[in-house]
Amino acid sequence: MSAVAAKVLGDASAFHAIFFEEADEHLASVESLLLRLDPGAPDAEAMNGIFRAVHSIKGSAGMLGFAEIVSLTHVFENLLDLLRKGERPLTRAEVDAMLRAGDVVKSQIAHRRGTLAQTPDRSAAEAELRALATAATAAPREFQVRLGPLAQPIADAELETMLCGLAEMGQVSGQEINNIAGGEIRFRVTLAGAEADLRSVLSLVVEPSLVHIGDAAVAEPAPQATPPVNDESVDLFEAPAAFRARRGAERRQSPGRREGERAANAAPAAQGEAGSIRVSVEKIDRLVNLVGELVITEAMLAQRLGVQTELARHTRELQEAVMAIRMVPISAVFSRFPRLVRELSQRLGKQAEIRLSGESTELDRGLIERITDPLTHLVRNAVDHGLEQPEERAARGKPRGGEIFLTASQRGGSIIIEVRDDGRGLDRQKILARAAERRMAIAPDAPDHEVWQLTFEPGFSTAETVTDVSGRGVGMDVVRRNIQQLGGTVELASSAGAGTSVTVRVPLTLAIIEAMTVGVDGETYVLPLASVVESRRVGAGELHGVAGQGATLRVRDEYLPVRRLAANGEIAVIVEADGGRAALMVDALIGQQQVVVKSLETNFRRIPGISAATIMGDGKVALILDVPQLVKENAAWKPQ
Amino acid sequence: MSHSILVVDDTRSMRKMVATVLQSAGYQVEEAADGAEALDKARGRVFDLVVTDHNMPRMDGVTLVRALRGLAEYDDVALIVLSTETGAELKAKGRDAGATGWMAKPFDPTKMLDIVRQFLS
Repeated sequence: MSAVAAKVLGDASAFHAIFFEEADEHLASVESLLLRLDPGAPDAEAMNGIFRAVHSIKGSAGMLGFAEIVSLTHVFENLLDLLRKGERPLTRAEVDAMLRAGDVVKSQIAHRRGTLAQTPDRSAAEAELRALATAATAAPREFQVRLGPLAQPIADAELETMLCGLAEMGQVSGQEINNIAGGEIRFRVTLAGAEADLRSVLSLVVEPSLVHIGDAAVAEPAPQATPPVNDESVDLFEAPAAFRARRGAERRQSPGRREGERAANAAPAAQGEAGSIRVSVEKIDRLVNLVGELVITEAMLAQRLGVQTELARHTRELQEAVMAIRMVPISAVFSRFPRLVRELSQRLGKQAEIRLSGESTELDRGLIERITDPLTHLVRNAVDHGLEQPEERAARGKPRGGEIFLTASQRGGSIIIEVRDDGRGLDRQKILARAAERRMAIAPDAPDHEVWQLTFEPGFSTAETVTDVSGRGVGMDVVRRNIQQLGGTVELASSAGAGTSVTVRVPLTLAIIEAMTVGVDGETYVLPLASVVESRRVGAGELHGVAGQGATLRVRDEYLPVRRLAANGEIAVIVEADGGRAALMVDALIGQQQVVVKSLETNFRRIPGISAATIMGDGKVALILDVPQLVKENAAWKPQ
Repeated sequence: MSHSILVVDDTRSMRKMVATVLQSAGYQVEEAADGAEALDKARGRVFDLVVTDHNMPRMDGVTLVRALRGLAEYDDVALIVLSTETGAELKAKGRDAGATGWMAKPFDPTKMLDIVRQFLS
């Protein structure tokens, strides 16, 4: 590369980030398009979309010198080209091979990115794609044949015999015959056989080394491993000098027009760029934090001035607008499930289809990451435990293929995600038996929803066999804990023989929570409203001491452990987390409000019993209590 | 006044690379993500040169070239196709549509600047 080239592209790493991100998007779209393809009647637009995505990756990888990616995407592209031109029928085998190849490209990208240590092995994927591309194609192909340069002319009779022979095999066209010493014979032939057959026929008349066969259908040459290219890389249809001369002449003829154009040129490209721009997450988080500060400052001002101003509304709207930037569609999570369901069901010998809806529902980016695992678990459960084997379904008069519905919707400040299957449903008797085994207290005639609640208990599982899919032990309790950590809830509904539905409800964002503020010894503390069950005034006589265990409070039939936050607090706030409850004794209930969550770990340090902090309207810092820990804690706990 | 060049490619990284190369030589670059968007932009103002990919959604490069040649203002603007596809048949189609030249991807930045300079000087 020249100095200029080295300067402009030598530091290609500047383009790497763009390329990686773009390749991720392309690969995700390839995967989702492949999964939606109907092998019987592939959608032409989808095939073109897949082709273009792979083609794009290849092109940019070539510029950046990622030879191994070029190599694999090239073979990938060749197969796609045959498929989209209908020269090979699309079957499940091709779809599977392409999905696998996409995975290898993904790990190649990860390797280049530095997140994957070893170089992925692409040979198997390439061999598989190549085998499918070259497998006896049903449709005839066109070959470009060139014989020569000839050492001496071929006898006319022999030439005639050869062409006639070829005409019997296929169709010959475009003959250019220059049958002299040093000349060449060129023609195209379309036939169904392999190139080797053609070569052997031609070798009967000319020396094998003079037989040149190119495949017109797959015209592209093998990819160059390194970017800089040979001299044939540029093909000018008009010489620059001639072009300039012609343009000069035209310009002299119509000076007026040109001037008008220059004026148009001088005008800035006014049209606003529709579409989107990319911004780093750090920048957005900084914006969110700044707006958080602004909200607090505004609240302080309002409190001091004692007047409501327009500023309050503008600030709130600004905050909403900024939070909206962090929102991403849930399709980012949903899109992985079709593949998961497909692979799982194949492995388990089941037939399953997943139906997605509400994929455009948006939620906070931070939540997306943390909701992925619990949802994956629920979908796995649905395939593994929910759906029956095809025979069993048929015997019950159900279609052999089961369905899993994954639905997302927004309701107020919450996102509701439902994972529903049309499988066998929960087995009430089995759950009750398991509960008895584990000595869990439940009445035999308890209503269904109470029975289903048992499945959320740690270690509770009724799966009879341990499968490598859902395993055993970690189950619904982990799902519930994860969701609760996000300030959300999980509900289960089921009917025998008709299926199970799990409804997950999470807040739209983690950065702002609905909170209850309480007074403890003159300080203000914050409780996430989602964890508060109820609150009530407690008389001194209501607290029962149990030897060595601290006090308990009887709430209906349950004895709850008491956590004395305030030394003389008479108000009990009943909180719930991880399936457990506790009564927190406080001095006063101050109010309910939205608070902006500030991490203590990043601003200060982690404190047991405190999950985060917030800044109140008066500018004071208030601590947000870590309810799960308070519930778990055995001894009475008091904030320091 | 520096010349303006329209760079058309649906692959963002490729588009950025072409744009960076051209900008490094002082050209003013405008980008479009496919033929249709490019045509829109070309209608709004006359660029001094266009570098376009061929295989793109909505409108491919050769179709864009044909459409641009249909506009009186683009009679004498150099239109260069930049594509991984280099088949003779497709090139001929590009030429018939009115393309000024065809460059293969991956491209050599120096060579690209060289070609562009020749058409713009």
